[in-house]
Amino acid sequence: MNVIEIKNLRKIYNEKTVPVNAVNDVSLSFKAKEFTAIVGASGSGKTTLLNLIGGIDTPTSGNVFINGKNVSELSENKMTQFRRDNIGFVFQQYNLLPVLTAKENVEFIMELQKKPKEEREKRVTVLLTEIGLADKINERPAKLSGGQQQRVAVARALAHKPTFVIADEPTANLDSKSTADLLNIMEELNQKEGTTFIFSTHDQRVVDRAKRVIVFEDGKVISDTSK
Amino acid sequence: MKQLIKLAWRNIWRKRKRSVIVLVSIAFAIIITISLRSLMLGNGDKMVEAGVKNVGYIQVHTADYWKDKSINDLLLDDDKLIDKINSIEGVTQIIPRLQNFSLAAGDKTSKASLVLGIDGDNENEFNKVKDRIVKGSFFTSKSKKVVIAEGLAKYLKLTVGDTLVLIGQGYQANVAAGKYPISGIVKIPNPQMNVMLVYMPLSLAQEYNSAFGMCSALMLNIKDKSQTNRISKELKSKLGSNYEIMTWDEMIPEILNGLKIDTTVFTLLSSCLFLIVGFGIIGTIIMMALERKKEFGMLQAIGLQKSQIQTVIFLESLMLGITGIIIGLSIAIPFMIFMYYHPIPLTGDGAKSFEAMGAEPIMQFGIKPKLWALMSFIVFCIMLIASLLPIQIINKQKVAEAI
Ligand SMILES: Nc1ncnc2c1ncn2[C@@H]1O[C@H](COP(=O)(O)OP(=O)(O)OP(=O)(O)O)[C@@H](O)[C@H]1O
Ligand SMILES: [Mg+2]
Repeated sequence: MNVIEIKNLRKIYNEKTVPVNAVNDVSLSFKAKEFTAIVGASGSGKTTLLNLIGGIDTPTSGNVFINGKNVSELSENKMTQFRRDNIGFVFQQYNLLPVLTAKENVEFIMELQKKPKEEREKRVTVLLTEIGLADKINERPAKLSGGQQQRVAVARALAHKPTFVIADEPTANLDSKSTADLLNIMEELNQKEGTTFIFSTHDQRVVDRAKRVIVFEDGKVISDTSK
Repeated sequence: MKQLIKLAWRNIWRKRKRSVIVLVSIAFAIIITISLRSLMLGNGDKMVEAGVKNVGYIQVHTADYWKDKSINDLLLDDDKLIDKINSIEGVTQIIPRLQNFSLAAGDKTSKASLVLGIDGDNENEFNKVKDRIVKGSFFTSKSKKVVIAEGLAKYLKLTVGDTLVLIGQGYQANVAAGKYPISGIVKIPNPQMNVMLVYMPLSLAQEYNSAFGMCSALMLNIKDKSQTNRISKELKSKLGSNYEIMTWDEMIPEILNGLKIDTTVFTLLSSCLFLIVGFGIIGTIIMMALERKKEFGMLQAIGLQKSQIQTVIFLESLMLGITGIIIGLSIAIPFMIFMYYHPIPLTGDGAKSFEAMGAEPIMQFGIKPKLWALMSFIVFCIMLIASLLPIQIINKQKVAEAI
C-alpha cells in the first residue's frame, strides 16, 4: 500500500514576476518502510518537494495524499495537527530546542499529544539507547556535538511513531564519521520500526545507502531506481 | 499547557544578562515611581491633616459668612442647632469659634491682629492647641486672660503677665475694646498667623465683640474622613439655606492645589520613565522573538500550533513582567514601610516651608497600596504590549520560509 502519493504536484515561486518552477508536475508514490534518497543539484527543487510532501508548504497545483487522505485540502490548523501526529521532521540544523534536554526534546511531541508519562519515558529510553546517547539523556543540545544533535533529532522525529520521516539534508553539516553513524541509526530504525524515510542529500556516500534513489533536476524527476 | 509554561520559563533564562536587564529596569521603574509618589502622597496627607486641624472637617456658618468673614454674619450657638448637628451619624465633636480682626497694642506699638475666641478644652481635644504653648499657660474657659502668638508678642514687646490692649469693631458696629492680661504665649507654625493671632476664651470674645451667645463658625470633627461629603450633604438638607456648610477641601484650596501640581509633576515624570523603560523592554522582547524565527518555524513544522507558540511568547513576557514586579515590590514595599516609620527630618528652607503650612518639618512617606497596584498594573500593561508584535510576527510567519 502506498503511504504517500503525490499527483501532478507543482510549485511555482514568484508566479507574477519571474516564475520559478521549483517543482514541475511531479507524480510519485512511496510505500511503507521505504528508505528513499532524493538527490539533485543545488536549486533542483529537493527542499521544495520535501516541504510539499511534509505539508509545511502548499502546492500551486496538484495534490498530496497521505494514507489515502488528501492533505492539500486541510486548513492550516488541521495540517499542523496532521504533521504532529503523522510526520517526523529532521532538518539540516536548528532541530532541537536549546532550552530542553535531549530527553525532553525527544518526548516533546509526545507531550504535546498528551501521551502518558510512562509511555513517554519508555519510548525515550529505547530511542536514546538506540542512538547511543543513553548517557547524555539530561544534557542540553549545546553540550552535544553536531552529530549527536542530529541523532537526537532523528529520535525526536521517530518518538511518536509517525507514518514517515522527512529529512532535508540531515548530514549536510556532519563529518563522515557522524554521517555514517547517523545513517546507521536511520537505517536501523527504518528496519526496526518500519517507518518510511525520505531524505535529500548531496552526498554520494549517503546516496549509496538508500534503497531507492530519486534524481531531481529542474523540478522534475529524471530517474527513479530501487535496489 | 504545563509544557508551554516550562518552555517559556526556560526561554527567559536563555539569555540571562538580557533578562536580568529587563528585570532590573522593571524593578527600578517600580521602586522609583513608588518612592517618589509615596513621598508626595505622604507629605500631602500630612499637609491636609495640618490644614484640617486648623479648620475642621466641616464648618457650619451663617449663610455667606466665608466670603467676607464679617463679624456681622454670626450664628446663634443654641441648643437646637447643636442638637440638629449632633443628630447626624458620624459627627463626634462640635467646636465653636468666634473670630474678628482688631488692633492689638502693647506699650508703644500696635498691630492688626486676629482675635480668635475658642472653647479651649474642646479645641484642644481636636487639635492639641495647648501643646503650642511656649511660655506661661493656657487660659481656662472662665478666665479673662488671653494667649498670644510668639511673633506678635515679640513685635509688641509683650510677655506673660503683661497686658494686651485690643480695640476694634464688634458685632453690629459696637465698639470692641478691652485690656487683657497675657497668660501664655504660643508658637504658631504658620508665620503669617504667628504675628497676628490672639486666642481668647469664647465667652470673653463674645463679651468683647458684644456678640453674646454667638459664634462665627462651628467646626466639626467626624469619625471618618471619607464620610465628609455624606455628612455635609445631610447637614445642608437638615439646616437649610440659612446656613453655609463647608467641607475641609473647600476651606484649604491652596493645599489641594499644591497637591494637584504634585500629581501633574508625578504623572509627567513617571510617564517619561515608563516610556523609556517600556521601549527598552519592548525592544528586548521583539529582539528575542526575531532571533528565534527559525526555531518558531521548526516548532510549527513539527506540530506546534501558531497559538501555542504565541502562548509561549506571551508567557515569557508575562513571567518577566511579574518577576520584575515582584522584585520591585519586594524592595519598594519594605522600604516604604521603613521610611513611613522613620521619616527624614528637614532643616533650613525646606523645614520652613513645611512649617508655614502648619506641618511638621519631616519628609513623610505614605503607605499607599493603591499606588503599588497601579504601578504594577502599568508595568503589566507594558509587558502585554511588548508581546503583541512578536505574536503578530508569528501570525504572519510561513513555516517553509522560516526554516
Ligand atoms: N521562497 C522562495 N521564493 C522564490 N524562489 C524560491 C524559494 N525557495 C526556493 N526557490 C527557488 O526554487 C528552486 C528550488 O529550490 P530548492 O530550495 O527546493 O532547491 P534544493 O534542491 O533544495 O537546493 P539545495 O540543494 O541548495 O538545498 C530554486 O531555483 C530556488 O531558487
Ligand atoms: Mg534544499
